[in-house]
Amino acid sequence: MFQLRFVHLSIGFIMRFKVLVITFIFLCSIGNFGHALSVKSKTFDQLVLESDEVIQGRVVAMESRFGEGPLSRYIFTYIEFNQLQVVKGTGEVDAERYQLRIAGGRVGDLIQAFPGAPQFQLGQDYVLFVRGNGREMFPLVGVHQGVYEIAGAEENDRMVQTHDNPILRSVVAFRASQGLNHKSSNTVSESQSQSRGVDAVDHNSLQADEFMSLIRLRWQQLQAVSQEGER
Amino acid sequence: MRADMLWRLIATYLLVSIVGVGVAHGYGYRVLQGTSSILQESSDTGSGMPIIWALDEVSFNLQFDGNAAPSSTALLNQTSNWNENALSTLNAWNESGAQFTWREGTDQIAICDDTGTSPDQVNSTGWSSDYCGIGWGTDVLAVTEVTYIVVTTGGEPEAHIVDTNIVLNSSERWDAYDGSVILTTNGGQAVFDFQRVVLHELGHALGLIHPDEVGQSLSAIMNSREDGTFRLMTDDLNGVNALYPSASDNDVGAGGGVSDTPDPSEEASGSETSSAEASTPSASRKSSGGGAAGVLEILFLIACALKARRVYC
Repeated sequence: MFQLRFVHLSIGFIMRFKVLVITFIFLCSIGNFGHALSVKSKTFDQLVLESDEVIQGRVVAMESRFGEGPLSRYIFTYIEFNQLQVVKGTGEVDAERYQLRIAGGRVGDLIQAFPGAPQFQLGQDYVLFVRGNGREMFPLVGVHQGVYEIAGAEENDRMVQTHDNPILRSVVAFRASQGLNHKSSNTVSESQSQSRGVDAVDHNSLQADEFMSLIRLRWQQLQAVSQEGER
Repeated sequence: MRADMLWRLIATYLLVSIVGVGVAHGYGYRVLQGTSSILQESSDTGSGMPIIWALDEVSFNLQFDGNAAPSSTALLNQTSNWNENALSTLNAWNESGAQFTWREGTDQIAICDDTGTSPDQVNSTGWSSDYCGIGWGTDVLAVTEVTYIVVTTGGEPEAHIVDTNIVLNSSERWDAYDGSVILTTNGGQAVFDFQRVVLHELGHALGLIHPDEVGQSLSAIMNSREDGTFRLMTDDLNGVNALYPSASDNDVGAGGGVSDTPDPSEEASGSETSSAEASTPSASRKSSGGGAAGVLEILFLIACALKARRVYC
């Protein structure tokens, strides 16, 4: 009886924990707007759902030039990515290279800037939630909210730069809700930290591959929910 | 000044500078670094010449009550037109104490007029359901387009702002109010506050960027994430005063006059940054007496820059 009650309590606790996590994700997702440009705040689910493509890639070339026809007064920058990993795509994504067009750039001595728009660096890796590429000024879901910089060159040290980002906090909460453990990313620094008596594992950090897996998982879940709703 | 006092000041400055690398937080601005780089973003502790207006008085045409404007007959703050609200945001920045003044302009050039050259040197505002023919992209409420001209006069290149336009997305729901952003009960669709968005965009037009994207962690209208702030805060004032220090007062952040009462913690953080901010260089600018010469210089710079588009030469 006692054991049964204990089990019942444990299940209750787990259920409550899940409710808490889901509530946390929901609360994280209630946004109004961010001021970048200004744009509306997005949630992790919205990034996954509303994107045409989710890719990870390295910037290998950037070129700015004036638009053509009615867009001739605007400068656009064409950013070319390679070393692509595609989590979500329409099937039209070239596996070798991807070109993103974003408003603003420098042509000669003239610079057209849109403060708040994401900036890209040559040689840098990014995860992008793309929508409307080639049609819209800033073809990224939530503009700056749809771009994540990856730091670190080694395979096991490629971390998403969190910058106290609320969306990434909800991704970390999603990871916890799925019972997935944080992947220890840098064993060297971990052992160094342990030797100093510091808790080595930063449970809020996110490895790039882990981030991609979580996006894929969430995309599958959201698709399943959508298909369930259609039935 | 006595020598020992001077040394004490230097030592204090160095100490604060060293400590400040890790802890100081403040406004952000753009700098031009290197001949090939597009732009770099910098915090108050960063280096480089900020990109700002070369003039200390600039006109802005307020055209928010045009054809594409959402209804403004009964705004929540008891006003009845958008331009009135826009004017109050211009004045809020004008009261910052900085050596820069926005003037309400009278040119009536449509915001999306593409018949002229670019930059047209007419600072315009307005509403549009797209950005003058280009899709807004998801979730964009407003855009500030800022045009810079890069000048190389012997040494390192400098850049100045020469043109800016602010366009608001007329497809969204807008009102004018203080306090937290209003989420309607109908699916949580927000009603956006015109004043805080324009106040923020005008900060971009002055040369400020998002402080929370360069390491800042306090309230500011210039933050990239909306946090309920609807007026200029200490950090915003520090920023504009650092970019446009007044001739009579080189103390950064000394400007005031904005009816805002930042919380004590924010005040403390603001004062924490003051020594670092004092070291922030501001670009060479024309005094108010040199306005005509400044305009001629800007026209010359634009003509040179238009070479890039093969309009001239």
